[in-house]
Amino acid sequence: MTNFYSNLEKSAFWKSGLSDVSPLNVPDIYKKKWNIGGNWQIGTAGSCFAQHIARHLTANGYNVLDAEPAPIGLNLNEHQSYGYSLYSGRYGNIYTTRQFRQLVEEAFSDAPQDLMIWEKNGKFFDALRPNIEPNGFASQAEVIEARAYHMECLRELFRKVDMFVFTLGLTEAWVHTASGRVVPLAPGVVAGGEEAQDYSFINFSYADVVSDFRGAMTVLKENRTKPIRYLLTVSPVPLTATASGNHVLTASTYSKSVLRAAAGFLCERYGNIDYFPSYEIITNPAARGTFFASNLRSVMNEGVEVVMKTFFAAHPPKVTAAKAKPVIEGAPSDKDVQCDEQMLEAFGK
Amino acid sequence: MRRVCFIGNSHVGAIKKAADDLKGNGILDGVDVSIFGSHRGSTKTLKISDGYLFSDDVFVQKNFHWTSGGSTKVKVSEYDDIFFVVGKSFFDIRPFKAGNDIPFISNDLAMKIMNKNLNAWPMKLAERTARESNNVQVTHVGAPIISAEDPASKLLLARFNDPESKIFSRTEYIRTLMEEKSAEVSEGNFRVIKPPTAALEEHGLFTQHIFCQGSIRLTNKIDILHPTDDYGHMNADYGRLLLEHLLAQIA
Repeated sequence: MTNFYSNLEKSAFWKSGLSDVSPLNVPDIYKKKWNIGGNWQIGTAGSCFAQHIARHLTANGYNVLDAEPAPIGLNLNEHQSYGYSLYSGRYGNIYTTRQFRQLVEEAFSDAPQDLMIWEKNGKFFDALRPNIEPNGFASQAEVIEARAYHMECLRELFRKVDMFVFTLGLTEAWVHTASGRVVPLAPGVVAGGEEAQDYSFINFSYADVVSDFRGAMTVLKENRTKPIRYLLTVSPVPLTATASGNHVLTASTYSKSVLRAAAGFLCERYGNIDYFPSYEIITNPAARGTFFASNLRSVMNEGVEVVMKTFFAAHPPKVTAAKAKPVIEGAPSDKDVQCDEQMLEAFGK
Repeated sequence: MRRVCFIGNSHVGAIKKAADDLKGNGILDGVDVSIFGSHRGSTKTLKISDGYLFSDDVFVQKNFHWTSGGSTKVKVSEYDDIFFVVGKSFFDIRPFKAGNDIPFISNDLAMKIMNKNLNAWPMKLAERTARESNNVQVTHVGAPIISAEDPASKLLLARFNDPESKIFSRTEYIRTLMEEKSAEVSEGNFRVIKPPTAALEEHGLFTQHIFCQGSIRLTNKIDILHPTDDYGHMNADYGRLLLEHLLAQIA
């Protein structure tokens, strides 16, 4: 006698799909929606875990765009601290879909934008990407010029990409009360302590996350002439701190659950959105936490390798192993992704 | 008689050829030009000690002997002016390039890029030479800026044809920062100097290709040309412009 579970694949059962297999290679954990074309131009953005994906895609022959490359004269080992070579634009980490939406909207908006400039010790910071100039800008005018150039580059990027890889990172953010815009880091962490009263805490709901991502999709569609695909992932990196009032573990679980649910919904709802389960690969109970470093947050290289091995099993490298780009000396490696929320740890008790 | 010394790599070839061509026409009257050249990075082995600029590398010694007409080392105090024609010109825009564009670069980042050049060995060697010999004016000229016909130069220059682009103002901003920084570092008997404006294309970023055609290799077999896709070496006309430009600075 059969039932609805009788003819399902092994991957549908916890025992055969997970507990009986190695966490280093979980068969069928990812079923791709489409192949990534060899000539596709790929954009990357999101929370810091997305940096791993961007690097490995590039190293394996995928055409990952860098619309805002570093000046030639800047040492490779300084690219990260100036916000270069992390993603396809010099936007730093984009933790929330609200940030992504407002960035896309700003890029294509003709309306004058509210200046979001923080001052600290006579230096000025772009509140929407406070970590791209470690020593700050010399003047407000520099911030404005730099942002205008950033937008120029992003318009080109957003129009060019065939696929955008976006890693959803957080639901918690700080919103500028007057403008409604969110900033990636709480005021006062890098700069902006003086303006802290102008911001309030927000913890985005499932509906917010979905709505913001859809909003970004709409603006992109309106400003492009060709189709676009999205590959979503959820960062497995837990919150380093929460301002929600809850315990950091429950806050983290809430945040990741909302993001995972939103990514799942978007993937099911839209044919041009795929979801890649890096979150599940790293947090897989079968791994017993071994993919996390001793701080129980950072993902070890071994974990990243399993994620990418799974990815490339479905989307084979576009170059042979022999032709894969070597890691350039001085270039950022998996060990030093730029997770600026780690700065919060400095404020931890 | 003003004694002038040029030290550098293959790029001193253009100066040597120009100096030879100019003999007897009056431009070099009252000036005694010495040239010490050795190929490519071999000049990196140069050091200064006890008033002499020299290398332990026999290859460099041989080249110095040949290019100077008999000396294997430079006695710094014998000269009124020493020009270093090696390393990147302080005024070369290329370190500020990103892709095929001049991006917006903050003051802080621009300083970092300029300091990288200032800390590179050719500049440091020139600086040390100046420190050791207070009576000698030491100038870092650097290698000629690459030709406007170099494929990468052409791609960048094409951006200037876009009237919508703000590349003009971004480039001007970097130039302003360069001017300020060069004034700051040029103190005492050390200075960095721009290449002759007349040698550059209209935007002042690259050397006009006409000065790149027919450049001669630094070799004792005369008149062997660089290949046509060599966009970095300049010809005797450039050498003459440079000589006139530098002599005007010390006149």
